[in-house]
Amino acid sequence: MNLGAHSIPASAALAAMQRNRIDHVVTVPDWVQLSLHQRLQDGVTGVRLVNCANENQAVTVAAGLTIGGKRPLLMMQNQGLYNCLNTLRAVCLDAHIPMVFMVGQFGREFANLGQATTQSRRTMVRIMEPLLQSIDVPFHTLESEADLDRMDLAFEQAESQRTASVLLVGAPMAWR
Amino acid sequence: MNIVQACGVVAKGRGDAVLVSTMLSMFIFDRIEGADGKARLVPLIGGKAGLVLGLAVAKLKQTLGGEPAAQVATTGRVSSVPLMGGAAGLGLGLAMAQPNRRVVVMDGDASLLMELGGLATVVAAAPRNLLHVVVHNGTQFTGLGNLAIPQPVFEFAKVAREAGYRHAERIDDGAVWAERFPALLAMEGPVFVELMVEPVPQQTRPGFEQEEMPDRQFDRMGQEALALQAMLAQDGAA
Repeated sequence: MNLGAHSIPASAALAAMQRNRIDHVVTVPDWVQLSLHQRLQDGVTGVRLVNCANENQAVTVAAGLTIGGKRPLLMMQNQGLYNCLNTLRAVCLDAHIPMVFMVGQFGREFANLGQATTQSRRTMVRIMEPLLQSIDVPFHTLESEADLDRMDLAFEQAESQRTASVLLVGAPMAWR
Repeated sequence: MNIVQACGVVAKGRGDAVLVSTMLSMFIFDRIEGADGKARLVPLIGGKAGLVLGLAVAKLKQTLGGEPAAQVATTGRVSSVPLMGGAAGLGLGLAMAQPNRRVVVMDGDASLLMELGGLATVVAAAPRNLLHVVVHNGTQFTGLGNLAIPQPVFEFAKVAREAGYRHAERIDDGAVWAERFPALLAMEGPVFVELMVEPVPQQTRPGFEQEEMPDRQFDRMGQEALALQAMLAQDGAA
């Protein structure tokens, strides 16, 4: 296992966010994306950080921002996505408000990197992709820096299909 | 005060403020704003008699307008339905996105209890244009089952004040609410108001049959969101 090969630099993730014209990051912080959180907390021109007490609020705040004409990105960890499933159902699946989630696969054992997460021995990692499939929410895995193009795809998909689209961050982001 | 007074004051006085509501308030706004979106003819009188009269006039207005009951104007409104606990977050996002427009959230007590941490989220974002109102009637499924909320005597305004809202107050009387509303709406936010509202009298009894939820209940939030998004975009472009 080579963590470096899977670890996306926070600077590259931030560049992808700026390329996608994100103006708000609405979040409950995630261990996997910690280095990106740190950059956002330090301040990024043109991106407002909105810290929420839980993920349900993150989804509704992002919905209000979207209705109001902004372009938010949600950041949370896998446990957070499980926490806000009903809100995601109401906002993205029933009300069809488009939304892109960046979700860290918290708890993934390093031995699972480079393999299917459905083979992980950690429940919170293993059940994520089957869960998203079962509720018809499209998702993309970010397993290396080269996968960041999938953020563009996620926004296109969320907006054209008026749904949620999830980016699963597989390994701790690099502090550079 | 009764729920017609609580919502009627907002419907008559909000002007171009965006309105976010939960289930009970949504139904009352539907009734008193009606198909023409105007609440001005609906009387705001206290007590059970005032509630019955207010709803009766609203229904008459709708009947004379010739519109089916489900056909209501929702201009500038979005309902957090079916989604308990979502109103404050929706309102906060709208307030941040549209800082030059007032946003009124008509929350419910049981809904707010579900997402009480949202008070801290609002305070952290510090929206100056947000008026957060909670209808405190101590019941869930009011008018149907009138089931008690977990803590009926919870002091919402006190908690909001401690959380850091710029201003928080509790109002018991419908006339005081009507008098205070313009100032509260104009005040620099986030402002919190706890309205002490009488529960709608329970309609259920042995033999009562619950009706099927109409499809509109499940797709109206999306329709309202689209309409509101278009309206705000148009206003922004003007």
